[in-house]
Amino acid sequence: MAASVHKLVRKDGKKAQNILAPLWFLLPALIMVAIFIYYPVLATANMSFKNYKLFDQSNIFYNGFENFRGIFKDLAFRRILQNTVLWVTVSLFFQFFIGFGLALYLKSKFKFSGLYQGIIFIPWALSGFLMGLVWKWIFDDNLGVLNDLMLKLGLIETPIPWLSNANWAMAAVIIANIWYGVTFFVIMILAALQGVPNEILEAAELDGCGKAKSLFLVIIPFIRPTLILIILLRIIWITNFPDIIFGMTSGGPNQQTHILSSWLVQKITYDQDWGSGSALGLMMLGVLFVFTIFYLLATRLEKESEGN
Amino acid sequence: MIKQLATRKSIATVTVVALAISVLTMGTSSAADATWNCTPTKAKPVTVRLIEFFAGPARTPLLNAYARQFEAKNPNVKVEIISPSQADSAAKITQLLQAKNVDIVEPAGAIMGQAMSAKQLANIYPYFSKTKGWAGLTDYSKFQAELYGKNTTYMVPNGYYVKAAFVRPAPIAAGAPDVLAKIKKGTATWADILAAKSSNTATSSMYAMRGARASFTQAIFIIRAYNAPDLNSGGYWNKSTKTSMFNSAKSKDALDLMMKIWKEASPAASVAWGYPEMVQGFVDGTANYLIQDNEVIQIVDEKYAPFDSGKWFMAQMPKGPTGYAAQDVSGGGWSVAQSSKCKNIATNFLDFITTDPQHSSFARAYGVGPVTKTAASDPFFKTGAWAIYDKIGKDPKELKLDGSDVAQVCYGEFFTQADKDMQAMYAGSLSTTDALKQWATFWDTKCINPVK
Repeated sequence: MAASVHKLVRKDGKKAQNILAPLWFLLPALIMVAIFIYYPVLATANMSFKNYKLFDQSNIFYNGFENFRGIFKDLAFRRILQNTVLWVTVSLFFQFFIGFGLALYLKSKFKFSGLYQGIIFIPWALSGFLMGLVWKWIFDDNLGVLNDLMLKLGLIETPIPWLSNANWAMAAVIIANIWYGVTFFVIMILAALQGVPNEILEAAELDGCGKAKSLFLVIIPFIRPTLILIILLRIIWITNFPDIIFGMTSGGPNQQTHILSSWLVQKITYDQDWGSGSALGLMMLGVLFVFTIFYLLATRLEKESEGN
Repeated sequence: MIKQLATRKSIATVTVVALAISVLTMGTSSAADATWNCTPTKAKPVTVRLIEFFAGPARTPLLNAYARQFEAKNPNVKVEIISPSQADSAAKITQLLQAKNVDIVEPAGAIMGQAMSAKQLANIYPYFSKTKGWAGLTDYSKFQAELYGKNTTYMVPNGYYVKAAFVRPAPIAAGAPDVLAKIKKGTATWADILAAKSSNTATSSMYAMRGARASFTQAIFIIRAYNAPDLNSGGYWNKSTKTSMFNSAKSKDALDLMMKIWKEASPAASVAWGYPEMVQGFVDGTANYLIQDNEVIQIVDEKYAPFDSGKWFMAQMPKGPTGYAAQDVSGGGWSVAQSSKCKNIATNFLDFITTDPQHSSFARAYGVGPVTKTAASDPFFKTGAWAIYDKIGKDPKELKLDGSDVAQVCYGEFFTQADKDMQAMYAGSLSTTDALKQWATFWDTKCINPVK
């Protein structure tokens, strides 16, 4: 590479200058990324091999893989891992399908559709933690509006222990997360749908495609790249989204509603165990990185096989 | 040989000179410490950054008002108040201390011990003891200020947090009138609190349990009540056995009783209750008996009913089988960071807010026990809901602990572990025997035993 650049400079100095110019423009961004992304990642990696508890800062030392071992040995780890899988899959499933449905609905013009779109987008503009606090009061066992409504409608006879029972609490945080994330899919899918040319849809209609056939044979294949990307992004974001859980349950009762990212926040803020928190963060980074590669490879292979 | 001697001689000379320089430097370090001699000028203004632990609407505006008054009196000084949410304050304070980017902190809870161990706080005694603020402190506040040693001050108290019971008499009178009478007299025991489960209804329970953060503090109340008066001044050790109180059989009885109170006399939802939910639970009538600090008076008064309405009253904490109760009467406070570049200005600001009328207004507005002599003599703190604290102060069977064990470095780790253990006990995955065994081992091996 260096040799070829050198060659270019010798042959045509002007051309080489043109090649280097974009690098100069990129340099400020690269420096920022290096400072704010790569340096913290490296610092986290370094800290993950240390006994680094803020409670006792006089006792900081390298402890090998002890923090990683501690995470696997923690009795809560298995449940937290299960919770993370449940949190991501259930949230993603409902967010995607509700979001898709709403996007299809919003694409058609109707009275006050602009206003309706605006209302639907509101959750995305709000703080996740704040929304967690709001949902906490909605789901409150004694005072919550949800239990009150269900009691008045005769759907239940005694209040549901939404936040005091581990399983109900997990359901409650997932419901809140579904509500919060639907908007993202609506925004992204609506934008993608608006990019589908009317000519193609008209041609499909002329060829005798009904609405369902058009959706599956024309629209979805057309917006497929967008769908792949937004699902990937959403999986990463949902995994790394502890805000609602912290607002609603702080991971309780008995750490039963923690997911990996909320557990990480607890380790850093409440437990003040930065070593263990860093180890967990590093593990999550690794898992998500490997997942992303497999996901992209799988979707590419699928596309290639379809092409063949 | 001569060469060897010459070399030795030169080494000796260098050593002596180096020693002399270091001794001279040591001798003059505090006197010449530039961080204690800041002079703000127009060209070089000084900014004092203060971070609160307990930020809230009752006190933060007042602190900001004091900051503006101080700035007006001290040209070229700017006071910046940082007010994180209480959920984040511990982490924020720790981070700012680590980043050496703060002048005054409020090191509540476990932060004090960890900051002391990391030598992040400055001893302000030589400077502060000459101020009006120091002169105005009550004797107990001076004792608290010198908790880490005579003639050393790492924290200036800014208010006392004393635990008392907030009681709704009507529902308890309906279901457990005998217990209500004992509560009023101040003779109710923890066993009585369990007995008052007869006042539970479909929508309300007797006791406001704490299940979320700091839930173990509930266990500590009852364990201390069962162990008192056999407690050291910090309240974590038995004087008789010279080991931590968690080893005693009484602690087991206490913790078992607490779990019964949780199961039978508390709302099921309280497993997820932290401070705001407990207070809200009392205000809305989900729980009829709440143990909390004095600053809750104002909240209950405003959100539920005025104290004079008679809908609620204040009582002493329940006692153990021997008629004793025990609690920390240690305050929150302010500390100057060791990394502060202008410690004299930071201490001047502490002096300003610790003197009256500033402190008196702060204590009244926020609802904390006063630390100054003039505020302590204010009738406001002896009447109405506040009268209970006078009663607590005079009751020899309610032991007042000095908070020295809570200030230990090990306390932070205990805090987080004990909280997890409490949750596990509530969920039934940890027995009281095992929990006490772990706590006893922790205190006996990781903490400094002051009674040994």
